[in-house]
Amino acid sequence: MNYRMIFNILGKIVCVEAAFMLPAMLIAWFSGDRSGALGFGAAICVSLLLGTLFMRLRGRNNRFFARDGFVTVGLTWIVVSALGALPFWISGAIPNYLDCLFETVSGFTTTGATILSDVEKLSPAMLYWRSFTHWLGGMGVLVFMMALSTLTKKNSGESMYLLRAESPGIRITKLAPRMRRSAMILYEIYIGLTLLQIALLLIGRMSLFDAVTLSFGTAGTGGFGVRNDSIASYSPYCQWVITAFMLVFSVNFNIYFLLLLRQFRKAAKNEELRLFLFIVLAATALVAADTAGRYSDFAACLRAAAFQVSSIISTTGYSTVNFDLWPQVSRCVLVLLMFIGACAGSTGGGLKIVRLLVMGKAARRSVFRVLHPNSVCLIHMDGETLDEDTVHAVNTYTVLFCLIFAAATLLMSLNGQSFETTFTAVAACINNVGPGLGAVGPNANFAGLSYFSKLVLTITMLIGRLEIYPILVLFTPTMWKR
Amino acid sequence: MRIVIIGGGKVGFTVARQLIQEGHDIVVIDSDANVAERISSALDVMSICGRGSNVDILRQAGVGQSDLLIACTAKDETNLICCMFAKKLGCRNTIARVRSPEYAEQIYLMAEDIGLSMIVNPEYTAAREIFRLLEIPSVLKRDTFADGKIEIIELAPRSGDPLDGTPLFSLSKKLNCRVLVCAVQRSGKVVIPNGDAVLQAGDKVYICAPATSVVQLLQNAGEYGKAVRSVMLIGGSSTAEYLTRLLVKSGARVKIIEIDPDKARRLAEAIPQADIVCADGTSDSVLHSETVTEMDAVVTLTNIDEENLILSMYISRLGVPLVLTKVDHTDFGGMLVNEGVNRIISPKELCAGAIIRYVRAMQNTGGSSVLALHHLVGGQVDALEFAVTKHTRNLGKTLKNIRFQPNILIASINRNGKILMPGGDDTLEVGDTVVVITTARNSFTDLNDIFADSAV
Repeated sequence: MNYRMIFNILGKIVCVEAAFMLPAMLIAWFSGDRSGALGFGAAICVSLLLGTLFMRLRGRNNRFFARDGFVTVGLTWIVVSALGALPFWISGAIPNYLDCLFETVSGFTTTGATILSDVEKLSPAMLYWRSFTHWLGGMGVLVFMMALSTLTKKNSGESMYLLRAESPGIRITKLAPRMRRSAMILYEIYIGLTLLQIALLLIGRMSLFDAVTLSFGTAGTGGFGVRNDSIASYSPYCQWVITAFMLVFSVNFNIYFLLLLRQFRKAAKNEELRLFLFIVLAATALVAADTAGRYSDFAACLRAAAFQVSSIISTTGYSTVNFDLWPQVSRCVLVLLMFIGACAGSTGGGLKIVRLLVMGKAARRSVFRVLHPNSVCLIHMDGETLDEDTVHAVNTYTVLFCLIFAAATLLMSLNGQSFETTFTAVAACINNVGPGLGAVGPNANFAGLSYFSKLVLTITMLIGRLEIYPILVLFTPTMWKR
Repeated sequence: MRIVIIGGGKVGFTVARQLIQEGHDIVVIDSDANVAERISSALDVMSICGRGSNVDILRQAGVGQSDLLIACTAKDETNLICCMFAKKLGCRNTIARVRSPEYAEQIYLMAEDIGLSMIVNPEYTAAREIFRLLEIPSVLKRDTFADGKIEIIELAPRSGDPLDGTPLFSLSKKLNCRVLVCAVQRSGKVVIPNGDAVLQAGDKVYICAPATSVVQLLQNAGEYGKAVRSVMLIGGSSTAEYLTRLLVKSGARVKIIEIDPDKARRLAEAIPQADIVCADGTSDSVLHSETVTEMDAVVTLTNIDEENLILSMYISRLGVPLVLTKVDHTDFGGMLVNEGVNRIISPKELCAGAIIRYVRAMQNTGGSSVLALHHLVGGQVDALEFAVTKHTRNLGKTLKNIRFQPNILIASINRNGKILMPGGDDTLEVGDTVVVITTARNSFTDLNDIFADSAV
């Protein structure tokens, strides 16, 4: 393995992270939060020191393979989270480092699960940084680096390994011949949509700070709010804007690229998009019908249902009502939506719609084959034949996902909480949603869990965001053997 | 420029790798999903899995907005059709690989009508290259610059030769013509030498000289072997056919050994002047009965690289003075160290080189970017030809007063067709073309990159 090159890339990323902490430090300084400014200042110094140290390692050769890509991505996310947690810890905003790490990983992985019982006590700088980690983690730290510069030796395809390892989905394609341009297009769309949301929220008379932080949380499909009741106390207009943008950010970004190229027909025919919209509409209708009796006014009922369904399927995790108190059908629908997740190539988590689609088609084929054993049936998607390797990879991924889910649930059960809490806590973390049900419901938080459970969930969140393999390879013994 | 390449095989891959390095945006189309996948992992290109003769795929690749389409799939017909479609879709230039001898002769009739900008024929290019090497037997490799006016030749002096033990500063005097040693490879290591270096037997020496004085140079260096009069070709591929025509024309006797009776018969019909033997060229007894040891030169041209390599090693040991080996799979690169296989011809590599030169010429209307690039010493040293323009810095300064980057050598200056072997008192003037030697680690794209003050 090419450790020198891996650490060189890591060094560059750590330096960029230091640059991103600078605005937060300025906010802390100008809002008179001395300890916050100190925390960010110290974290910036540590990051720069570590970054320049790593960058001194220059690759002796340029051999960089898929495994190096996975290791780079896995290590990057761990190191970036570890450093991103420093401001909370040094400033004393969150006293225990493991809690800080949980909070930061929850931020970068766009989970939005928090261990803070009183968010409003945090200083503006800390709130800004928490939400910003969502924004950066949503599209990917390494993808951002690729948009800035060529990470590895210029002109080679190594960056493809990094893109594949960091981006969610089953088929990662470039939008332009050059990786750098491709990453830039993604970020341009991302930044454009984020700015649009900020503008729309400002029109709804939201304060600038809230508009920016909430938009960061929506764009990354994260879910950290800046108020204790999440989104509940904002105006209906703002809630609808956030609902719409949660859905916007959970659509595959390739669709927006197609729209920019004016290929509307091709975009509209995308099977994943169609299934996604269908699920959203169906789930909203079901939840609205189920909860109709609780509201006097239909608009409020529809708004709450649409908001909650969008929030969960996009794996954001904002809430306007305490859905833990909803009837069983609605609660069950929401838990199922957690597992389905957003579209591939979006900022959302979960299993991804496209995997559901492929598995559904494969299942239908299996039934068909029972009836017609000699038929040649291929799986088609978006007008193309899907090769068997892809179908196989989807199935393997799902099995692996279930195994990890089972293991994490078992480890969580040591905490001694109800099954509902245990199950949904793991579900909310591995799918990067945020709130679960019961003791980790939308009006509660993860503070009450043991440190062991928090560590388990921290790793689970990383596994969920990076789609298992980059983290798993770090724990594979053969990876490190020569 | 935006360039679409159809076919991600050896030629496509080599061309893509080089063109990306020169700053072009590349899209590769290949019908094999695995090939498409591998190429997008290895290079910073967009790869599309599909057939290049499918217009939808061509549209998806953005052929209409591209400056160039290079069709180098295995099939001539596909390549030609791809180029026709691409032209129709609005692609500005097209290059097709056409390898069948029949098409190659006929296609010039059609090239203009179907909008082909260039036709590359790897087998013919290879035959030309082999022929050039057979012309001057002692040279291991010849690279030409400045429209053939400058050559860089590779020599391996033996002990007792005039070159053995000569310090470089007295080399020109000793050889009685102006030459410049660009690079020396000694026990695997490559140096770009200065004047005090001394040549030894066993070195591989790369010498730059005006093309007109190459023969004189070799004669004075005692390296000029006698002309090749009889050649044996093993394998009757289309390269063999092209090569035989060239050799026969120059008056050499050619014997082709081909195992397939049909092919052998066809060759005998096509070239009556050559001796065609229908036998297994890899058999020891066949080789001896066809008097391989009395040949001036043997070229192994079968379709299997390994067979060619083993045959060449064996035939070299039999004492044939000149053995050339055709190897398609150039990834063997550094693995080939045996003495018997020091003259390797790779049709696909040559073909890629021709395409790349065309692309450079396309974008090179007045710029100071690379005119020609040759890899020496197995890719460890590059020889680049640049045009000097008014944007070039340090114009008119004597070379000894210009500060260059490390490991740079100006090997020659072509001023209005006159070749100068530069010394410290020469200058760079607008309109010159210069050949620059550098280690391959610096990938220069502009002449100004070679000056030390450009290192920012």
